[in-house]
Amino acid sequence: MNNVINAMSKFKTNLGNFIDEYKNELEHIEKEEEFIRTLSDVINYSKNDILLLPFYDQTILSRIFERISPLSSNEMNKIKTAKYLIEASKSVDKSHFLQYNNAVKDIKNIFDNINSYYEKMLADETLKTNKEKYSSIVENYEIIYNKIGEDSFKSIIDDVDLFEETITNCKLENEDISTILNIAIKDNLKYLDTAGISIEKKDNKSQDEIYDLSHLLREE
Amino acid sequence: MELKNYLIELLSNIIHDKLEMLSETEDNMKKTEEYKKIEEIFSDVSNVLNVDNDELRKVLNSITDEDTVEGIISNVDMIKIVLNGENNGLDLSLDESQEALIKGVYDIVYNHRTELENKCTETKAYLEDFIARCENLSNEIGIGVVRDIDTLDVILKDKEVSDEEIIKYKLEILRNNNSNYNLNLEGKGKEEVELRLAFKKIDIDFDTLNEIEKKILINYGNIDNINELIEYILSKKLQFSINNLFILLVFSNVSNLSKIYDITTTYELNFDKLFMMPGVFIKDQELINTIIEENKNEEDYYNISYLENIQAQFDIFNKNISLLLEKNKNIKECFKTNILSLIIPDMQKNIAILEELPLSDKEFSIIVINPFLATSKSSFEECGLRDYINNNPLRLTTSYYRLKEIATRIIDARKNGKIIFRSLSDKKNYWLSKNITIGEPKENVQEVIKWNF
Repeated sequence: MNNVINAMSKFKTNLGNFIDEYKNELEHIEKEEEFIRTLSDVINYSKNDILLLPFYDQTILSRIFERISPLSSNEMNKIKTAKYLIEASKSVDKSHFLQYNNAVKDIKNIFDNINSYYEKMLADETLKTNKEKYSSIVENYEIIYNKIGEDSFKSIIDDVDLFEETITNCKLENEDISTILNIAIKDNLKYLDTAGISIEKKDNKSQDEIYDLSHLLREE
Repeated sequence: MELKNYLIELLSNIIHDKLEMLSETEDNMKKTEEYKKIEEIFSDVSNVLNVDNDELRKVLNSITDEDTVEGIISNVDMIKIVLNGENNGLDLSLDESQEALIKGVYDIVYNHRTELENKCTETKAYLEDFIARCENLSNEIGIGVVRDIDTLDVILKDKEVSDEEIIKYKLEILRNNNSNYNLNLEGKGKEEVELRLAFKKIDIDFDTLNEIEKKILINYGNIDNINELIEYILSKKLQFSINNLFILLVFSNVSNLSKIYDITTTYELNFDKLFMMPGVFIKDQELINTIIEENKNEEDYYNISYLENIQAQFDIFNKNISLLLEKNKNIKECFKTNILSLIIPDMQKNIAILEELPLSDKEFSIIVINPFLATSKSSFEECGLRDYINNNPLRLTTSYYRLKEIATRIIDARKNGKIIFRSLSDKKNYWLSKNITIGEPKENVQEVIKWNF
């Protein structure tokens, strides 16, 4: 009995860890999607008038620059300068014209950088593909996970392909896999019988008794 | 070779071997007859004269070594001479050692014979069982529904089959078993099979539910949640009517149910009574709304219309229990008196009013959970009568007459007082006038309690 409990426990733990790994991946994907939404928001905010860009939330802009231009540290300074010059230009301060024009160029460059990064991210199908793939793994494997009891399966294993895939991915010893399959086979039959479809049942002896028998026969 | 065919051949060989062993065992059983013959001779001294040395030698050779056997035979020959002489009138008799030898031969043969018999019987039973098991397993493998996985394991353990092959074959068994049960588990009907299985666990026939309840369970019930609930029900040996079980399985969960169960057991409350207000078990009011909305055009919509009246009241219930505990009130008493009051939304307000009155704990418990009186006190406050109540410490009871008295005093105090009673029976509003026109005073208090503000 202990080997059964041990095998099921390992199965549950390993499968839980496996699912967690993919949940973490999904969290990462969600953060990426959030970043894409942020980029989209920034672009939409200033696409009709790029001079609005410096007035977007500075914390968010700073976060975007950290990500898309990690080697260029002065993006924020350019934005701050542009913001100041745009404000100042409202009072028609001619002395700032040259700087103002440069600042507009900077903003345009920054906007183009953000936009091209956004388009690159959008064009990258990996995120979408992985999200579908990982969500499906988490969803399907949780179905199996929820079926695992202490020494038995709580409900019928109907999707054997999924079950096989799950067991294979759980990094279990062959002996444990074999034990788990024994339980699955026995429990499935039990559930199928309970559902009212029966095939003649034998009063099977316990495995220990059979081992005794097998040893005795060898001694003979 | 395919593992299935390999196993059938392997089992056939094993059966063949074991049948041979069975035959040997049966031969050994026959040998015991020879032992019995010797035993019989050596059970009586006078018989020893008739012993056939060859037969004796044969039996003893299977028990002990040759030197010992020949020693015994030589002694037996001497015994025969003595016995023969004695029979012929010579003055001869066996000495003690010779008598001891006769007894010794008897004992050794008897012991060996019984030991052999026991071993043969045991072996025969084991072999027959093992052969039957192998034949059965072979048959199962042939049919494609393998049940006796333990015997299969024993058979495979001693053979040169790789772990990978065994695993592959067991997965094949799992697939074959499912498909050979002729169940379309992958498609439509799977949910119902799962539900039927779940219901079997608690020994309830799924068909006891009506068609709309079945449909709701299949379409909206979460099988994992249902299985968890059923495991909990089994572990606590809880009993439910079929309707309540349906409500519980669709709209509740284990965390909700266990909280309620813990409260009822801690305070020795009657768990079954809680189902007078099924809403307490429901965590998912949104699901009720969805079901009602999605099914309103269905022919059997009327069957689920009762769900409309079930509001998820668990949070209020839980809050009120905590509130009474906080006030150190006798929950058991409250629960016994009127369970429905435990879902009064404004209990906190009622408690605040009642706490200012000089009531005993029991009175407090009875009143605070009585929806009629408790709500009425709350209404009194809203009517601006708090001061009146404070200045006239009423000893509230559930008596109709007391109630009438309270009402009269209130009406006296509020010249234009308007207090609405809503009848739960005919859903009409009634005015409580100066003359108490809600009906003649009745002896039966319960009838009065039916009225609610």
